[in-house]
This record gives sequence, C-alpha cells and structure tokens, in this order.
Amino acid sequence: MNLPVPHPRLFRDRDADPSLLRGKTIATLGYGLLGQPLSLNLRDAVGSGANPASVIVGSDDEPSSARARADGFEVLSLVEAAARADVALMLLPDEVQPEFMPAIGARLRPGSALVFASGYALAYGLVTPPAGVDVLLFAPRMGGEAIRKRTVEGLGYMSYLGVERDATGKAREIVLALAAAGGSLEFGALEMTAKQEVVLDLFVEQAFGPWMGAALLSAFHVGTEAGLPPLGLLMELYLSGEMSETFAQMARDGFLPSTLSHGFAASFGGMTRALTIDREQMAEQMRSILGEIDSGAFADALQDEYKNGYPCRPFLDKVVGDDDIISRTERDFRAM
Amino acid sequence: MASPAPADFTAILARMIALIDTKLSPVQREKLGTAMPSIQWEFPDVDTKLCLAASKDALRVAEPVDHPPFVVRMARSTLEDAAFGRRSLGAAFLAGRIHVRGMNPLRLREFIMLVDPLLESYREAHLESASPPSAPVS
Repeated sequence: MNLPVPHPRLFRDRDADPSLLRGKTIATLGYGLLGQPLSLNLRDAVGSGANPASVIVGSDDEPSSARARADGFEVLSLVEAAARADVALMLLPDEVQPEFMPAIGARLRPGSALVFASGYALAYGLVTPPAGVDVLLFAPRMGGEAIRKRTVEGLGYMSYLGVERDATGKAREIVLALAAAGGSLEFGALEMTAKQEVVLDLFVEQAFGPWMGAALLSAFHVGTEAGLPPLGLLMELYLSGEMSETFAQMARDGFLPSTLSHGFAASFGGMTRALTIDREQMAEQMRSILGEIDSGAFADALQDEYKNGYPCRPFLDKVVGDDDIISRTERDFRAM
Repeated sequence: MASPAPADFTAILARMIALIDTKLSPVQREKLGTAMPSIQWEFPDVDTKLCLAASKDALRVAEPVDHPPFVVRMARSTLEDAAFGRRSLGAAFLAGRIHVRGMNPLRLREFIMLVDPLLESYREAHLESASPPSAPVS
C-alpha cells in the first residue's frame, strides 16, 4: 500500500521578514500577467519608507514596457535589469525562458537571487542558472488580476515556494521575504520543488480542466438540443455565479460538506448520477496525461511549438474565437 | 448545394484524399505518416467509413478496420458545412459534432497541417462530382 505523501510545509507571514529586501534592487523580468501585480505589490510593501527597496522592471517588449512606465516603474532591458538586480524574478512565459536565460544569466551578479514563478524551465532542465546565484521558486497560484485585488483587500493568495539552490546560505529567508512582500503569505505558501510545482500545475490544467470544460459544453448542447433555453443553461452552468459560489464554498466548508448544502434533491440527484460515471476511463486518461507531463513529453511538444512559431495557435485561436452559440448567448445576455 | 448520395460521397472522399496528396509536400506527408499513419474517417449518418493512410511517398485510401487506432467521426453535413464555409470545424467541435478518438494530443500540429488541405480538397472533389469533366475531344 502506498503511504500518503506528507503535507508540504505551509509558510505564513509569521515565518518571513520582508525587511530583508529593504535596500535591495528587485527586478521583475517581464511585465505581463504576473509581472504587473507582483511589481506593484513589492513596491507597495518595501518600496517606500526607510531604506526602501528599488523595484525595477526588465522588459524587451514595448507594450509591456509602456505599461510599466505608466505604472511609474523604471524600465530597462531584460539584461540591464538583471545586471542591476539583487533579486531577479523570472516572469517570462515558460517556453520563452530558455531563449533568454543565457543572456540574463550572464549578467546576474554572484550572490544575487534568481526567482522563478514557475518550475517549468528548471524542472525540465531547459535553463542553467549561473553559479553563485540562489535559485528560488515563488509560484503564485492565482491569476494576475486576482493577485493584486486580493493583496489590496488584505486576503493574500496561495503560492508555492522553494529553494532549488542555496548559494548564499540565505536563500530560504530571501524567498520567504519575497513571498511576504509579494502579498502571498497572508494566505499561505506551500513548500515545493520546481518539479512538483510544474507537474501539479500542468496536471490540473490538462487532466481536470478539459473534463470540466467538456462537461460544460456537453451539458449545454444536450440541453439546447432538447429545447431548453440556451440562456437558462448558461445561467445554471456559470453565468449566475452559483457555480463559482459552490467552488468558494468547497474551499471554505470542505468538498463533501458543500455537496449537502444545496438541499436533498440536489445531493440525491448528483450523487446517484456520479455513481454511473466511468471513473476508470477518466482515471486512465489522467494517468496517461500525468505520465507525459512527468516524463517531459509535454514540455518537448511545447518547446517544439515555440521553436516553430506556434503553428497550433491559429487553429486553437480559431476554435475559441468562432462565433458559436455559447458566445452569442453570452453577448445577448450582456446586451439585455 | 445538394449533398451527394452515399455512393457518390465515398467516391468524393477518395478523390479528396487524392487531391490532399497533391497539396502536401513530401516532408509534410512524412511528418503526418510518422505521427498518425492511418486516420479512419467515419460518417455514421451515411454509414460510410474511409481510412486515410499516410506515408512519405503518398496519401492513399486504405480499407477501414474494426478497431482503428485513430478515428474522426462526424456527420456528412458537418464536413460539408465546414468545407463550404457554412460552419467552421471549430464551432462544430465545440458543439460536440466532431468526435476524435485515439489522437496523440502532443501531435496536434501534424493533424492541423491536414485540416485546410482537407477542406479545400473536399470542396474541389465535391464540385468536380457535381460537374464532371467533359469528355475528351478525340
């Protein structure tokens, strides 16, 4: 019998001293989905007062640079920002990092810290950070907009953090300080390796997400075929917000207890139908996906996609961008 | 545009594969053949199955099999709607009108390479069948 894997350590604000970042230069390399909220959070936390940290942005992308300048940041090229950094946050897209890492790594100073917001490039050996540099993981588990909103509201957000290489002897203190100043530890951060982080992230995206999406699409199309109103179906499925409230309730009250809170008819109907779902088929597919993520086969395919100029992207964009009945129904609702 | 009768439909599909063959380069054929050496297309509404076999040298029609490793199933009208621009394959896929079984999702790129030539070739083959070429002048 497999023994349960022990829970990773959970860090909270009490475990961190964000003042360790004061007087340091923190460079966020990339100003996209994560770069903007983290830069703003870090500046708010340690960028003012006595001995403030200097939060600068590294970006080679003009629209991102313009956004960062509009937010009041000093913007340098990626390599110039890396050269100035005591702490550099690598926030470029996963598949892009291997191309930029050699130039960035060459400019990092010994004793500085290189922090990855995703374990992808490290876990699959796609980058080689330079010697003498701490290599850290601080991976928020929240979309960028929500990171900023939850931080401003004092809620914090879940993240993973870890030390992949402790060159200075202070790596853990630095990543904890960064997670606290970045706004995460109000909620909490779990200790993870880069490989654990990326496998968890990709597995849930690829094994759970598609089943949820496919279930939603199938319910919508079966219902409309049977003559149910499309808008009513979308309301039941997600437009009313009931479903997102249900997920929030799962997080608050527990997964199984939350199933009892919708009345007996809902739990009787839901549980009895769940018994008839072919879970073994589902599990078999999930095992296969997990195997391809763990072995690096998915990473190979993603890197191949990047190197060849994203040939699948137009097809996928077209599927999402089509004028389908769901999008039309949503538009009708918003116009009401 | 009227749909062809099932017998004609099979002939149009066969012609479609011949036309796709002319649109793919040897490198593309080889990539397709390596990633998915056979793709069984099934149109249950007209009880039609057709297997596309790919190799470096050519695409060809092969005999359908009972347990194909890779199947794409849809109604004939779904293919025709996409080929003639009435409804995209993406919308049909989202609507659950296309069922794909056995594809390695990490080789999606090779399958995508086939999509536009396939729709274009079906359209050409369909139009050819509607207006057969005139008899050669002797």
